[in-house]
Amino acid sequence: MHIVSPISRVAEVEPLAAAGANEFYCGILPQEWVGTFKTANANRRIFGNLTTYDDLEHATRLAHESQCFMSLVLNGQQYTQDQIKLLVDVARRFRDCGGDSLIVSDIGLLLAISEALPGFRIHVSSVASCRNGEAARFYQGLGARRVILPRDVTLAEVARLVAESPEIEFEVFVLNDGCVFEEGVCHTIHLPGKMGGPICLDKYTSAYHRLDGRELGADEKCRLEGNDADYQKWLWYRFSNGFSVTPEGLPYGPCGLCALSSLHAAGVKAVKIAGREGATERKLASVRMVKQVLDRVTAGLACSDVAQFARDLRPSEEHCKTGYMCYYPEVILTGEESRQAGKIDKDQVDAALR
Amino acid sequence: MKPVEIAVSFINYPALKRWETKGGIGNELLQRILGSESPLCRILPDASLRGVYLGSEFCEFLLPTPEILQRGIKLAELSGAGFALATPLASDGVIDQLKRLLPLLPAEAELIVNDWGVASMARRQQPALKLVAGRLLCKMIKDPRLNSSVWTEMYPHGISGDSFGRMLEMLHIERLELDVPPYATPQVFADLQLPTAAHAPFGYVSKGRLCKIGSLSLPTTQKFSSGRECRRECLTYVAETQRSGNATDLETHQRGNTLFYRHTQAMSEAVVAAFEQGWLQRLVLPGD
Repeated sequence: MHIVSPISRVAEVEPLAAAGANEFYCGILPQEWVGTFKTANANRRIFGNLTTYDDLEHATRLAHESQCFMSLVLNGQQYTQDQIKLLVDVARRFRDCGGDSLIVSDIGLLLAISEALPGFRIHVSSVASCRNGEAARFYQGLGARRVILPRDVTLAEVARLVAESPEIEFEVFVLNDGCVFEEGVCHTIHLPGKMGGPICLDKYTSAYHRLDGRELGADEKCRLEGNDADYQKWLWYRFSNGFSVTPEGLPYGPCGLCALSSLHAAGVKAVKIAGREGATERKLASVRMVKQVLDRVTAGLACSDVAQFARDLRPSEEHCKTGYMCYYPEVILTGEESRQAGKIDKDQVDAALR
Repeated sequence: MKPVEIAVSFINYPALKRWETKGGIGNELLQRILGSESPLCRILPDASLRGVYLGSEFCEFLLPTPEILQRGIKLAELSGAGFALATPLASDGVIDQLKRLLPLLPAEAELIVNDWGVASMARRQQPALKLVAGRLLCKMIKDPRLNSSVWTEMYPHGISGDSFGRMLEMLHIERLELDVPPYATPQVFADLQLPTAAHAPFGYVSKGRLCKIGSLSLPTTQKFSSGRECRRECLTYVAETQRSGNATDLETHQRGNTLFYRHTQAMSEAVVAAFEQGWLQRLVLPGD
């Protein structure tokens, strides 16, 4: 199983490869894009991009010297036809300088690249929100070789996808940077901080009402407030435990380390570390953590021992127990909780629908 | 102006049942949804009800059961309208459910798809179905916090692009469903390659798979995660949401896993103008 790491600078390639990364992904903000479209939205990141084709070629060469693979991210949710035309040229330059694959989400761009650069490896971005086998095979028909699954898929869903589409590679999230909404269908802009930043971090307040026009009862208000308080706690975890790290610099936040045994057994091809815009130290710490756990998985350590090792790494036992720091929280449920999870009173559901 | 098609969408059975008992959907509902002040009321005299939608574009837990689906089809018949099943982003479990529902649809029914996998499966399994590209596939920036049209001009949509059009053609998609973005002008709807519907008076901003209100009844450690069942609290509660001190923000609310904004008068005027230009053919209103 490959460890896929972000880079934002050429100088990150060699140390990250030495730490255990097998694949890299990066963005580029070409000058011709900025000049033509007067925006910095070539790949959903204003910062954290390489800035020149020379850097892109250099980073790719260094990756290959370390027997690693380099992907270029072209993962805007939507592009106009003029933007697609320019991005196909960017993709061609990347291929010609030795690049290995393109990470694409917009269906129009995917089609244009598969026609203009037949045979060039395409990975479907998590931003494409592909989480069923029909979609995966549809993308494969358009030339995709790998699907990067979005956040918030379950391990059972991952296992089914891999089993039913063995000819497609699957990559899943393993560390860092949770989204609250599904990023492929979140039609907002990560605004400058003074305008509110990402909408999920913005300071919205909620006031509940019943749709039948009745007043909320005291018990309802109490339950809604309790749920909101839990949600605020979950948001804190979702945003990397308040964007904190251990004293040793290991990142907290969305994590799938305990699930690596299951993902490996399912046949997942690669695990993704998020955070192109993060500091080099954070990327290095993330790759090392994943590598340490993955080494134990491939050495045949029992799932429970792997999970315990993962929890002891930071250590994060107390955080892990909440389930709110997990990309795949089902791995931390006890046997009884596993049986109860998802099992609710059918009568109550029916009553709600009546 | 060409006659305007109206469609009414329902996500839950109780709302649909109200109109079933009245013998079909009438203008009373349409007026109530829009309110008397909406510029869109101007197009109602020239409009006719052409569609009843059932299902959710946003949530996998709101697929109708076969029984409720049949009731929806019946209401469409009673109302003299066509029927459309709205479908969300899908996991394989949802695809399994859809494979059981699609054979129950009338031959002339529409399937509103918001997932390329659903579109591909439906085209293969039920080639006679009319496929419609839903709002989740027709992507555009709709951030309710934008304080100027400059932002939306910086992020134009690609729905009218050749590549997107060819993809629609490959799947024999026959119609588009769009939201009305903040600072919309009629030109947002120009140059689209297929007949197009606009949703009003709300647009959707963003949706999650994880759901705050859908976690209300779950134990704390099981909240806000995938793979749980849901008690559909979104059918009981809605949350008005707001930021303080931002006068230009659009009015927003969250229902279930999705954040919505209400159109301004100016946005509604843009829709009316787009109908007058013939760039829009259908208006979709929420029935519940």
